[in-house]
This record gives sequence, structure tokens and C-alpha cells, in this order.
Amino acid sequence: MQPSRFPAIEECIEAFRRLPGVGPKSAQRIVFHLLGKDPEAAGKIAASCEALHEKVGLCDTCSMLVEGEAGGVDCAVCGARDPSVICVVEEPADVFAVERAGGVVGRYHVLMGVISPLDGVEPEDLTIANLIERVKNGEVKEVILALNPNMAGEGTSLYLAQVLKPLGVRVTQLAHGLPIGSHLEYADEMTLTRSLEGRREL
Amino acid sequence: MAILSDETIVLGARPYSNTSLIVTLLTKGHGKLRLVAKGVRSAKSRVGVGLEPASESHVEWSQRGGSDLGTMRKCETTRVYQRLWKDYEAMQVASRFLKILDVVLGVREGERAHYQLLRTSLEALEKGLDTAGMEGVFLLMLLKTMGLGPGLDYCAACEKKPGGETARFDVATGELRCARCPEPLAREMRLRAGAVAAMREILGLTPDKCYSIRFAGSLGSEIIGCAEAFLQYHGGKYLPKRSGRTPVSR
Repeated sequence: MQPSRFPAIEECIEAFRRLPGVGPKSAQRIVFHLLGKDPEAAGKIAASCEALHEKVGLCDTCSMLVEGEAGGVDCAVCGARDPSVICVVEEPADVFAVERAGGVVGRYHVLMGVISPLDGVEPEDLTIANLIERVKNGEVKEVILALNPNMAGEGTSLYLAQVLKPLGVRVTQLAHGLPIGSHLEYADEMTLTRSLEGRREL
Repeated sequence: MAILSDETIVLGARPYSNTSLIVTLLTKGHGKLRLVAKGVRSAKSRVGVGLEPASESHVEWSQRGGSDLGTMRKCETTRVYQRLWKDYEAMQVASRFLKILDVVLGVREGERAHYQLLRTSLEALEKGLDTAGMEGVFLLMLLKTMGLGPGLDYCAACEKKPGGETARFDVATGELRCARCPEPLAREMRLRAGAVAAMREILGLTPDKCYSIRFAGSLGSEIIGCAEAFLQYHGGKYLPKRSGRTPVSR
């Protein structure tokens, strides 16, 4: 096999291919764009990517991403918001989604996954022990479970409800139902059942 | 390229690219399948609960000859076992059944009997039957469907019915040795008389009746241990380690 004439370009294409949703053609397009049309951006992207892992860490309390505050210091949300409500989510990205939708008045707790026996993920692999400690130690009155509405998410919610309710807190779950803009006729049986169960008076 | 369709139960799924899944299904007539389900994780997808573990769906797929991975074309949910979504313990047991079948069966392996056994097991969970001991029954019935049902009626050495004392199960031959025949076995498991009787009874039942049996909960671990060892020895399949962490007691 002949040595490549453009090892730097090929290495860069391979690097971009590691990103989710980027195939070989997209990676090549990005590399040629950086090379020809936007040489300044290359330096900026490289510098900001390098700084990501140096500046961003996890909050010791809620496991949410924090910038420049890692190492035992609570994140901005943990320090500022109502401590009586905790919203439990699966991943840090879910916090951004909840915040985009208006957010919750309380604080967050990121589980860093969900219980999934099919994938060998057990409660001990998640930050559930930290959550229990927060509920035991703090002034928490309500825990909102905002996990994905799939079997692993539901299983985790059931487990958390079993663990948290004896501690004397109110455990609530996000409503399940029909997505806005959808059609009733295409909704599956499970979604419709949950929608009927969660109906409310107008 | 062939277009096929069948009744299926979802054994598991894992993300593939941004919006797709690779789904593992147990079919009624085509054994275990692995299919790419394109776009089903996107907000526009109408598949919904159909590709969640343990859901029953009618699936249409295309497959090239020789390929182990097909492409899903249609998926219509036919049944959702609602109790699994509401009962943590039932969900754990169902997940164990799905995982065992996924490990034991290779792609395109599996018969109607496996599908029927899984369906019966999920129906038993849906009815709210006591989950204690269900895994042992499932494993023994699985051995039976694979033609590996152990012989528990007589002692293989003296050919007498084992008495009320602890017997030894020969994992290599699938035979029983009573307490009166003490010659050492290469790989043996001790079984109390109650466990032997329960196992014998389970193996004599048809899949649709197998969960009607009742036995003491303390025998469950003996039955599971024995069935697992036998399946691993003869099927060459190592089952995933069972979690020792039991669900929170209610």
C-alpha cells in the first residue's frame, strides 16, 4: 500500500468522523471548508475543544455540568434555586431541555443513566445514593422524576419512587400523553392509555 | 432481497446513528432477528412503544440472503404488557427472560416453542402471578424446548426413585444420583428432595400451564442454579450474571 500524500488531511477527516452524525463525506466537507474558506475557525474550534475538559466538570451535589467550579464547589443552580424541589433527569443534556421549556423552580439531580437490566446497569452504577443523601439531609419536599418515557426510564422511576417515598417526600412524575401536533389515530395503545389515565378537567 | 413479515416480541434494542435503532426480535416463525429500524428515535416516528422491550408487534422487514442484519419496513404494535411498565419487580423478571433468550439464541435460531414460552411467561407476569420462582420455571422450560430436559425420575446408578434426602445432580449427564449411591461426580449440584420434585413437575407440564406450579421460595435458587449450570454446560452459553441486588421490599 502506498503512503498517503495527504496524511494531515486524512487524519483530520478521521478525527471529525468520530463525532456523532458525521459520516465520511460530511467530515471531508468540514475539513475542506476549514482548510480553504475559514482558516481562522480551525484554530478557534481546536482551542475551544481543548478547553472543554479543562474547564467543565461535574457538580459534586447534583452531577450537572459546571464550568470552573468543579472540585467540591456547588454549581450555580445548586446554590441559587429553591432547595425544596429536586428535578431528577437522566443526562446533563436533559437539564438543558427542561431549562429551555421554562425550567423548574427547584434544583436538579442528574442520574448519569437509567437502571437497565438488559444492559447490565444497576442502581449502584448511577448517582442514586447521592440523591437519597440529598433527600435525607436537605429540606427537600418534592422530587420530580423527569426521565424518558421508555421501559428503562419507567423502571428507574418506579425504583426511585419505592426508595424515596419512605423518606417522606412527595414523588411526582412528568405527565405522559399525546405529543402536540400529533393525530389520535396514530397514537399507540400505551400512549393512549397513559393519556386517558392522566386526563384533566377543563 | 426478500420481504418478510411475522409476529415478534422485542428482546432488546440499542441506538444506531442519530435517530435509528438496531432491534433484536424473537419471531414466531423466523427465529431471532436483528433489524435496523431507521428513524424510529426521531420525534416524527410513529412506532412509539412498539420497539420497547417485551412489546409484541407485527413487523415487516427486508433481508438480503446471507446477511444477519435486516431492515425494518413496518412495525405495528399488537400488544403491550402494561404491568411491566407499572411493576418494578415484574419488569426486572421480564428483562431477565429477554436477556436469557437473547444470549441463548443466535441470529435466525429459535423456534415457535421459544416464542410461545416467552409469550406465556410475559402473560404470567401480566396476570400478576408471584414472580418468585418464575425464572427457575422459565429456565427449565427453555431446556425442555431445546431438547435438554434433565432426567430426574430415577437415580442413574441404582435406578431407584430418589427418597426424601438431598440428591446430587450430575451436570455433565443431566442425571440424578440418590444419597445411597455416593460415588463422586465430576460436576455435581446438590438438590433437596423438594427441588427435585418441583423440577420433575415443571418438566412434565406444557408451556401454557408451567406457571401454575407452586413451590417453596427457598427452592427457587437451587432450581435456577441447577438449570443455569446445565444450560451453560450443554448449550455452551454463559448467561449474564444475575444481580444480587433485589428490588426494594414493599
